[in-house]
Amino acid sequence: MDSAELSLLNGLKAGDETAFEQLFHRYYPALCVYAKRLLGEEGQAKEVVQESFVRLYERRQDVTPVTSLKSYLYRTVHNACLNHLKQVKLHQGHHLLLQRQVPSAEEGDALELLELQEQIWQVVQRLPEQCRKIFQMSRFEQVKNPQIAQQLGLSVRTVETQISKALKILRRELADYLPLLLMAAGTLP
Amino acid sequence: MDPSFQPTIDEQLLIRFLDGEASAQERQQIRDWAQADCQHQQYLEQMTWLWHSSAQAKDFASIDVPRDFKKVKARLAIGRQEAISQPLPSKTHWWKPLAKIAAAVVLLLGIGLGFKTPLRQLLFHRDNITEATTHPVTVTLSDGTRVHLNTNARLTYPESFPGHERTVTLTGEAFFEVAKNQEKPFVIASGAVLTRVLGTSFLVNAAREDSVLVSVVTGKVALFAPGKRTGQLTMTPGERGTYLRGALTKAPYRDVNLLAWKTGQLIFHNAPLREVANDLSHYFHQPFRLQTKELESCALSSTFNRPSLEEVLAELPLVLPVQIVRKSQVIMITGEGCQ
Repeated sequence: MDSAELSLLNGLKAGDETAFEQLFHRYYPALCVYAKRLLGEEGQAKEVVQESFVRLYERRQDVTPVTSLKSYLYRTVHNACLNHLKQVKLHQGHHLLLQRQVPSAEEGDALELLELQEQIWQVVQRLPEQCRKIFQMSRFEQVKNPQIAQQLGLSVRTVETQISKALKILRRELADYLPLLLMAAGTLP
Repeated sequence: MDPSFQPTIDEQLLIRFLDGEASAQERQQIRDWAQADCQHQQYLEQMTWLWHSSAQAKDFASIDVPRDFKKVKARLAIGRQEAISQPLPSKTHWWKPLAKIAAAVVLLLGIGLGFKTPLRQLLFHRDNITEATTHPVTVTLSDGTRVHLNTNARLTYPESFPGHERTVTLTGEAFFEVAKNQEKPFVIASGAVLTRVLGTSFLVNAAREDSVLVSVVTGKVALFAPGKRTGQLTMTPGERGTYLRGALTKAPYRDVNLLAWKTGQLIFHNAPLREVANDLSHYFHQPFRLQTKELESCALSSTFNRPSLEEVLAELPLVLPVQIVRKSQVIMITGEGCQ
């Protein structure tokens, strides 16, 4: 557990509302995406994660994370999602049994990659306006470069330059994470 | 790894490459550049990773942290002493049925691999290879054609189809939904047989070296064996063409559960137990056998949705006068029959 997390945990136990808020800001987005990918549905995913935070606060005195608060939260959300899927399964009856391969909360690599995606999202939000718009169209909406150029009344060359600029900024901002990420993603031949 | 390293490559070219718009010559140019220097290669790896991962970062777009924190706070009523000392009743409706259960789980597992495979393909192979080793996999080709590979199937396909034909190679079983393109026929090479279509959907089973089965669901499909004097066989929906030891034949098929491995649905409507055993063998990749001929008099009516083996084995003795005996891999159905 890093020192920032430890002081947040102590603050939480002391009933410090800002500590709780900081924890929420730090872990809520990635937990939501995690839950969404387990449940396949966003509204329910948010509900599960919010409920997990409510319980964290209510039981804050009893929280004794074995390794870190982060893995404690992921495990809580993970189990809540499984419970939810089980309930759905019962509801739909005998024949509609769900076969779901769920990654364990211990899958560190998957979580690190999830956090990296969050970092990417944050860096993209800070890009200059036009650069951000073009990059989001390309990556989030999967629009091909010539179509982006056409829709925005720009040359393809400009679109390519802006995307290149965005990728370079991402590479610079995430420089600390990239070596780790390449290890997580496996070595190339 | 040096983050300050600046590449000597044409940036627009690199973006076209990542966007899949580069010509064959340009792709080669990138490959040559990457192989010339390990820093180049690292740079390309990083850019490719960022390119793919940023698409997945989209999921964070719809999360409003301050708004949702207010919701949690309201539920907790932080500051109200009595609310904190007494846990509030849960407001989540766990019993509410999920409207949609997507298979997004696989996505998370796939993140780690997602990087390795495309880059490998982009850089080091002219052809992509996708293999469904443990469970069915769907591949979308550059022309929009979707190929659903059953377990143990393997598809080899180019990154794009610049030529006058779209050719892929298959071993094992796959369901094809071919994107329409009258100018460029889609050709599947499997064993000695070529299957040729313009835009349609059909199942190819090339699990064995010496035989190929093609079952047509929509459209028209032509089957021929080049170099063998078999001529060409044209099939329409509901027909299955078979190539077996040098001969081409066709016949109607009526397997309801032909695509069960893809849809997850096994439907039996008064189905003879022999057929049930065949379909289950196919679905679970494990042989189901009837111990006696008497059992052929039994018929099953039931529907399964993505069943596990255990569920099916538990259900059969409940609805039919049979027992299950498992001998290593083989699942033996025993009993007196249903006369």
